[in-house]
Amino acid sequence: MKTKFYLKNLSVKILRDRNNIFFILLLVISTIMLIGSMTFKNNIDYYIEENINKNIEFRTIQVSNKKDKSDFGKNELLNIEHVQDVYNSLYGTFSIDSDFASEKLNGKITPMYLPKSTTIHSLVGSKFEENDKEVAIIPKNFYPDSSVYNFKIDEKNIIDGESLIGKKFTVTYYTKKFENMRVIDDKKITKTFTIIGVYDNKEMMNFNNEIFIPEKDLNEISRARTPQNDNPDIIISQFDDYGFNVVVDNLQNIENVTETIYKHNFLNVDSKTEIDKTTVDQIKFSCYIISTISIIVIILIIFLYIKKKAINESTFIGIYRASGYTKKDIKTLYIFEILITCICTYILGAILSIIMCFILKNTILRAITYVGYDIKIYLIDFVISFIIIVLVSLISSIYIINKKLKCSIIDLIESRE
Amino acid sequence: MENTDAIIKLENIQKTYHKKEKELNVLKNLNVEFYSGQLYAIMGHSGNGKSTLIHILGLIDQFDDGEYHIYSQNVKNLNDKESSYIRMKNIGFVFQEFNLVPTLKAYENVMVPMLINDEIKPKERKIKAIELLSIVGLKDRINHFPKELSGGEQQRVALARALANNPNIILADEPTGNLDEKSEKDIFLLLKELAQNGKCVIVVSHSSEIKKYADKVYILDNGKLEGEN
Repeated sequence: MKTKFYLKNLSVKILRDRNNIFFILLLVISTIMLIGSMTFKNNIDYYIEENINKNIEFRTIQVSNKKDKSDFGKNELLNIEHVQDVYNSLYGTFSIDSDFASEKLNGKITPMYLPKSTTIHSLVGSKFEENDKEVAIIPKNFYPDSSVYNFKIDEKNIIDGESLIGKKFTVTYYTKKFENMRVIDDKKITKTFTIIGVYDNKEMMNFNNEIFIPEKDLNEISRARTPQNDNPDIIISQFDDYGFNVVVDNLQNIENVTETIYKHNFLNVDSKTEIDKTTVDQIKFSCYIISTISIIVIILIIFLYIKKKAINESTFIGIYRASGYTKKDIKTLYIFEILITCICTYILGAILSIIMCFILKNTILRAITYVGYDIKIYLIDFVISFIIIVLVSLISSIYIINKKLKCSIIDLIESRE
Repeated sequence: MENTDAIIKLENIQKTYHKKEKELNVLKNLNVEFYSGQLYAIMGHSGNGKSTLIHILGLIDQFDDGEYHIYSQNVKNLNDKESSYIRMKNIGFVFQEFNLVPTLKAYENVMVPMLINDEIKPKERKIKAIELLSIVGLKDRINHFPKELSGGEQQRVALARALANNPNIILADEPTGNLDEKSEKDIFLLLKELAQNGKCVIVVSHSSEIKKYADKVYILDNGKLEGEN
């Protein structure tokens, strides 16, 4: 019996057998579940890895300041080994209005602090100089709208940052004051900035409305936005009451620097951003559970399918034997048929998984690609699921068909076990 | 038109079934010879071993003792490959249940035994299958699936399948058991024609109609064959 015969005749037999439809459907779903859960888990690992490596906040420590020191302890912190920079923790925590506002964009931008010693590899244009003021570096895919934080970006409204280099824009914000037990807007301030450069926000996993401005400007805006309080009976945080963000040169040095800061008697030392390991572990555990369930379902589906097939086709196996097929012929015939069915079903499931991934990537998850994250498809997930399906179908078919062939031909024809 | 050399020769064949400490001797020292060009009918009461005999003749059941020769070859103690080869080359089966593969068309069902026969070239298989279906009067039904055929037509497809590898021995076990009178007559006529063309056709049947077509009728009674004519 030749391979050509198998491919030609079995494909006809497989396609015409309606009993296969339910099996194919179930196996496709299980395959998608298996590949999906493995892909999801690997993407979480990748996301964490990317975040940790790209996002400066993962190597930033929040520290309370020292009220008794004139510089609130800033220089003390700067002198600690491996500390790259120290800045007010209020920086980068608020959005302000800009004249980029239009019918489609609300113009909200978030001024960010660019820690010293941080090199922007994707920078086009100029970097900040020591005494720079009222200049800005904006994202190359600039989207001045607060909806970026909800991952809602309308591609048509993205502004080409490079085309704005050399141009000016204004921001508007209000000073705040405390009145009648609540914080209210006081004076309106308008400030003009010149765009000197653009950067790829994906490099730092920033959002598309986050612009870098010099510390002097950021300090000015932050101070202005902090409510002034003249009433000694009421305690309200002033700008200098806020602690510091301490940027460490490397992730590996975080623990050492934290310990040293404690030794310097600073209080409330904490990582600015860290992975919630419990949540991540829970998500990963769920992925393992789904993968395991999928594998069990795949094993059961394939085994039961082959068993049912062997029972249903017992008579035909007998007829084949009576027609002169040897046991080896029957084994080859059925193993080949089952393998072809399972592999074709796997390919279908794999293709659907890729299509679903592609659709997700280009619809619901498209926005996260703007902050430098990309959904990845891992070949290893496909290889593992392929091996599982081939092995299960091979072992099950050999076991069940061998058992079936132990029956006499007449028992097979008469479907007697 | 009896040939001098028997195609099939059974000597002292014995077969006993063991059921719950009870022994049932269905074949007792059975001696018989079958020749090419003859239509043999084996008749008898239900459960007296007719089917067992035809299964033994077709090498799909074992016998306990005795000698069985096909073309002078002793078939006792053959391995699976050897007995399969004899079945493929020399024996064609027709069963009471037509046992056609439902997902295959009529001509594809006929091709099933050919697929393991290297002597028939792949390109010739379909042509030969259609040819055989024409012989059994189903030229216009070649592309039909079994469920689209009547009982008589299905049995004719089964007969064409039995002839696929051009075997010299045709074994039919109650081939008309599920058919009406008209279809029964058609099948017996076809079997008779095959015998006239040189095949050795052995038919197990309850129907006394077979007597009209058979060259020799055997009655299996108490484990022994008795010739009627």
